[in-house]
Amino acid sequence: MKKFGAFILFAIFLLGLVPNVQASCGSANCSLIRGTQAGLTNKDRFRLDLSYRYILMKDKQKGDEDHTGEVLVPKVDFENGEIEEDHHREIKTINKLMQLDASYGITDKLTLTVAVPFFNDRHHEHDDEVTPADPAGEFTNQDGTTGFGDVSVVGKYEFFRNTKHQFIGGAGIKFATGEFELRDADGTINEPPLMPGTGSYDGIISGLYNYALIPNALSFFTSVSHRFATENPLEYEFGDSTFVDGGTVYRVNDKVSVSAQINSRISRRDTFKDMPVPSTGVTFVNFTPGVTLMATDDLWFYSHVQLPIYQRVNDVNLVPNYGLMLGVSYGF
Amino acid sequence: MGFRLFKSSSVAFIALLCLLLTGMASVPPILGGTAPPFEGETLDGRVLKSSDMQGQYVVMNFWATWCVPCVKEMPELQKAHLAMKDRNVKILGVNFAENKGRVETFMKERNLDFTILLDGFGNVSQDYRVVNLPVTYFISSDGIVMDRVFGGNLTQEIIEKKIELMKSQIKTLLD
Repeated sequence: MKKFGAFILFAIFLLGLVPNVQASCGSANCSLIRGTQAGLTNKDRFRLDLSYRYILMKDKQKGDEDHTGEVLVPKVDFENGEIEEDHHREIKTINKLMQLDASYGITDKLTLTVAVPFFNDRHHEHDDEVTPADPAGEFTNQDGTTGFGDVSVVGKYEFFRNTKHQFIGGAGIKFATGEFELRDADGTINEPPLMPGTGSYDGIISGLYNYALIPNALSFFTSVSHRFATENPLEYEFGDSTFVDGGTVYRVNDKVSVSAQINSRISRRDTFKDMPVPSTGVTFVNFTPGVTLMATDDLWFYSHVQLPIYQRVNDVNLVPNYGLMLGVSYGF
Repeated sequence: MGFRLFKSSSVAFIALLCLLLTGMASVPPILGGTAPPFEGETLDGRVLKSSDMQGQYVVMNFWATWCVPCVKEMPELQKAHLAMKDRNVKILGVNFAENKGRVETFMKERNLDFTILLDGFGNVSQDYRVVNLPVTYFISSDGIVMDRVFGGNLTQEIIEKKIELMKSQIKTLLD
């Protein structure tokens, strides 16, 4: 609740600021809505967005409560087609991800974006081979992974826009381009959540509604997206995920905008050979403040911090302590 | 808990979509149709209602200080204001979402004194479906949208011609 109180104070602070904002102008007129809003790019324009994400996971969670006991999670034994419950004790995972998003405006209303997660580094620490005979297990930090992730291609279409309202729908496919059969230190296929890719072709749909309370200065948005996961060649299927977001963006001046968002993610439990996989499936709600610096109309630098408000896991698992995102975006 | 959260988030999303549909449902101004009514604060602190201008021909120009093509038109609007203020013509500038001090300074620096409506939240612009600036609506004395001009090419001469055309069209209709 303290975090929510901080969000309210932040929102009041934003509302108290006085805007002084410009929009993009041509020789005959000025557009009141920037084409780059909400992931759209103007016709025949490109935008490249390079981002770095750091997510630390070491808090323990049981259901929707903090957990002080141990986090024993299963191993999916792909070689023998079994799930070994309570196989190892999770300690910490650090995710470092880099992604390049390339967008092209096919028309002023239709933008195609290719997202390339070209670097995924997951540092993983756990006590391996926990058994009744050896409850302590054996500490290892050798089972992390590094590799190329799953590329997705998403088209976004602006169905409606006027001075204050904007509605954008999107649809796309996530391809199975990433590594999903990397081996752990024992030579067996590693945990699926640690892999750079899922090995599956997934469908993505999304909808975004944007309301400009003060056009070009203060806007509110809400969005929903859903990922329909399919089974990968190892007969492992990640649970479908739904993302529901809402927030506000305030342009302080020509160079700075600040944002505050609530991001939620609901992921269903994974399955292996149609068997439910313990300790998979989550509900996360985060408060995400952010700031964007516009060096020029085309070059932006941004950063966001993701702070957990509510976390729930099926059974027990580690959950993110916080997430950090830094990025640079260039249009041409 | 997760399902309840998902449900309430979905309800919020649907509610916002309804807001969008409400915005979409309002009728945009069409040529020959009634001009959307409005009410707002003017630069000199008065409350101006569209009904206050009934019986006058109104040249309603949507603009902003950062809009270069708009700024180019402003001296022409001032000239039209001086030339036609006694001929039952009202030049009305609708400033798009800027603070009062900035608009005041802008008007003083350029010796402009026609009426400015401050559309701080863009609501009047929304009702007139403004997505680019400048745009100018020509409204007859009985509140009908007679013409609309996009881009910053208005001159005093064009404004006067359009007003005369409006008057003759109304006269023809009445005859």
